[in-house]
Amino acid sequence: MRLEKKRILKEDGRYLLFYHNAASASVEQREAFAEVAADATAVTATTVGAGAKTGAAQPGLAGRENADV
Amino acid sequence: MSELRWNPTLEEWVITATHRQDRTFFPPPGYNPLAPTAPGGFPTEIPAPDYEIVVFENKFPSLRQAPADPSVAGTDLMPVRPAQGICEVVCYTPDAEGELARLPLTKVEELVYVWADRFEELSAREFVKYVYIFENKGREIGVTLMHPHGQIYAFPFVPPIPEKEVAAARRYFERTGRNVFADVLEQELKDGRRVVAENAHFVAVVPFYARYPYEVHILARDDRTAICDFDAGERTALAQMLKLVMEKYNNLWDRSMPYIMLMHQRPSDGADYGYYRFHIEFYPPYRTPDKLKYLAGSEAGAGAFINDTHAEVTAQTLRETEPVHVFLPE
Repeated sequence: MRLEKKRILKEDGRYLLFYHNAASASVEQREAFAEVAADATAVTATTVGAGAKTGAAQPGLAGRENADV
Repeated sequence: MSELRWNPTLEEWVITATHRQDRTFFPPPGYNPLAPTAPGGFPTEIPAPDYEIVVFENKFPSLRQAPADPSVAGTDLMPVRPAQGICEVVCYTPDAEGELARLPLTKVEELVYVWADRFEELSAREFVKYVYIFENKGREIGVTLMHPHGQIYAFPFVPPIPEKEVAAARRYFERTGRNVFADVLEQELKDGRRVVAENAHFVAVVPFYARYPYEVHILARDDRTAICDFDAGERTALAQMLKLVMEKYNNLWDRSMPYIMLMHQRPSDGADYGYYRFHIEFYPPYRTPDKLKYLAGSEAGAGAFINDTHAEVTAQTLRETEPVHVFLPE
């Protein structure tokens, strides 16, 4: 599964994130996402145990392959 | 506004958030702030005519990225800190009448990806020590917006229950060299009486030590400490297990079951928590179809839960409850 994400700022400074799955979205949802004025970034399951602030892989995942789609 | 006040007698922070007294309270249908903004209509939180899943900063947050100074001065004994953190709202669907259990499996799977993305992004913030993903569902739980949604709190400290759980897992590991969650799962599977459902990567149980009558924990079979650790296959399996448990809840008494759903994951300091394990907990508030389980004197004041049921019995009931969707909304 692959999602796309767009981030905008609201008038009061709060952020809002739109998540989009092109494979399951309706026509209206596809059009609404396309209208959001921001660049899309990908969200997938490729990240292996991101170690938050250190970037270190978490135990139990070393050498493991993710079945990204 | 918000601040953190330290309780030295319990060694824990209390968050004050006085502005939340004014938060949206059961708005009429035309003023649902979590709906898409209809052309020419009431401007909701989501400025788009449609959406799939959206996440935004709560308008009435308990924690803020740039918090105000505290309203009172603390002392060495009872310090006070700005309530720095992030509170997010996760809208699962634009359909105000929906609920997570009734969404297609693909949608639940998408939500797992969104939760993983939020865990990673929020954990990377320097001031964030713990990312807490949860859903309050139903009036009985105190929900004031019925539109299906969950929340995420990025705390500037590790909250008391996860802190206690992580510490217990560490002590168990130091004593035995084993993961306490792995051993609990092994014993639950060997016994079998409290198992509600299982698939290749997750097992749902009413745990031996359940505090609520129909409490269910979804335990990972493998050593994963956060939702972002799961690969694509595991994320699909997690979505399947979530949907199955929630459908069983709804079918138990042929009505939408209220609950608190929460995730316990590793703290966000980048340290090694290999002795811990990701899991999800559900706390439905009912002990029978028409009787609530209240947190009263023993639970609220002493922290000692009294469960009016045996986990072996409620697990059997849930195990025998059909997971397929037969519940019809009123």
